[in-house]
Amino acid sequence: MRVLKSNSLLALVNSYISDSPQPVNLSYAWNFGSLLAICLGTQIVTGVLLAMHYTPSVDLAFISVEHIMRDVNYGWMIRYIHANVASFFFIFVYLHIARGLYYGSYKAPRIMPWSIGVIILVLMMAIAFLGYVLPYGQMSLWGATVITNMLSAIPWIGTDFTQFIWGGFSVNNATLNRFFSLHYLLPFVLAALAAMHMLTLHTHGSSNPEGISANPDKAPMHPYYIFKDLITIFLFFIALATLVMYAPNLLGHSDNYIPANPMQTPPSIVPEWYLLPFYAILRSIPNKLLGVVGMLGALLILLAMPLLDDGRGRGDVHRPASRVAFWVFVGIFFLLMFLGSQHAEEPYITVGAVATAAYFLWFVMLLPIIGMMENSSFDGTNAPASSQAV
Amino acid sequence: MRPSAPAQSHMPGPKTYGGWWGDIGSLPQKGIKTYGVSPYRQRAMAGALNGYIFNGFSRVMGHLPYVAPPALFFYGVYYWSKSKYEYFNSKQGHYDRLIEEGHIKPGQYERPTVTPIGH
Repeated sequence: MRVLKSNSLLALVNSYISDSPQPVNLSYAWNFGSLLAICLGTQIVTGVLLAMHYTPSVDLAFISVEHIMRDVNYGWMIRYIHANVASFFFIFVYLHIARGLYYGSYKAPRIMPWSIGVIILVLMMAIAFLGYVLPYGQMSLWGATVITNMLSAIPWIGTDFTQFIWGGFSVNNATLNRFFSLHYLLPFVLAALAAMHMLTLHTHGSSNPEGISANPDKAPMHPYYIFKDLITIFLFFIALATLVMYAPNLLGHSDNYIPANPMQTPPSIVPEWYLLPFYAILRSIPNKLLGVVGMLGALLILLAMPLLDDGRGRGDVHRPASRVAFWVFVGIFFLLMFLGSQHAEEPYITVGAVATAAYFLWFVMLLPIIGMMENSSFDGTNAPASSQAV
Repeated sequence: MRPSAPAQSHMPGPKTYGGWWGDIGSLPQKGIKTYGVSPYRQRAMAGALNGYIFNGFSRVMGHLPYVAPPALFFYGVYYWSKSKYEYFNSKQGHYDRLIEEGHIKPGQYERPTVTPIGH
């Protein structure tokens, strides 16, 4: 017997990525899982290398990053890969979630992988935020100030809790050390969650674009999907190399090349692009506590997708109204992303408030109503002739 | 080990949606015949480029009615709010707001002569 099947650990590898039966009709929308695994691996490897040369101290953090850029052999490349893969990580995770929304991947029996995925998304955002603080440029300091201040909205204990997190009365040396420690630790928690994501997916297998059982026609993961995954992995490497070699700072903010200065706020404080939609929701709600609740709610409402989508079919492929609704959601998402990058002035304040309302109404109203309508029209056209109204 | 062994190993586990090879969960299939074509007769890439271009095009076009209305609407909102923002920050916008809020009367001062950007 081949050792790949007899060894208890290799048998797992075989069961997950070699012999695993996959639907034969998977499209390229099913390639993001492998890309995300590559991203996490790259981030951990480059992150460990960066940590060998980085110093988490308010006096030395900025110059230690400059030291990495100038003195460490290929340090510039390691850092730029780390920074840009973070962006790709979010591009892929958003596309992965969009695939899940469009094709109904959140529906039973795959509620567990979906729920773990939402937790992964929230954790990923936290890790990305913590990492952005580490170079200790202007945007690091003031971004950290804005985001940690959100904790002060917690009733009664807010201010005390925020100062507890800071380890002082503002973002300071203790905060930077804590953030470094957590930025190193949490990716391993993320890796464990990703393993659980795969574990729960493996129980039932992948869904497929048609939304019906693929059991009658399956193909093994290797070689079919291993090589299909490799196509997008190499495309990703080409895009990443282009960005790292030719435009490494395209997705960053120039203010983060100014050393952090607690005596001067930058003209505008904006997070990285991937946090903008949720930042827009935070700013659109005038009440501080409700803003924080709204921002977290915007992420966690994804957990309710299996309940909110009452359509009987899986996915939007055979449901035209749901398909339009999906693209409406994409539109709201991009609009919020744009609004998050702008100054909080009119008309962006009003448009932001409406877009925030639209974001939540999409989940709690549009989705269930469209599901109901489509179920009714399905029943109307498919009911037995004897039960149809004359 | 038979490939279906993991599924039949009597390990405790949930009722699964898709099984393993040999017990995949579909109706039992029988009478399956397989044929092969000699590698010298195969045309593995026949029609691939044609299908990629024309089938791809028709698939994208078929999806357009679902994507275009929301995309146009949200681009409209984006465009409207951007031009409104520019107007609010223009001389004309400031002038109009002073009138609107009653700080000056229409015609009290000369209107700004500089054309605002984007108008």
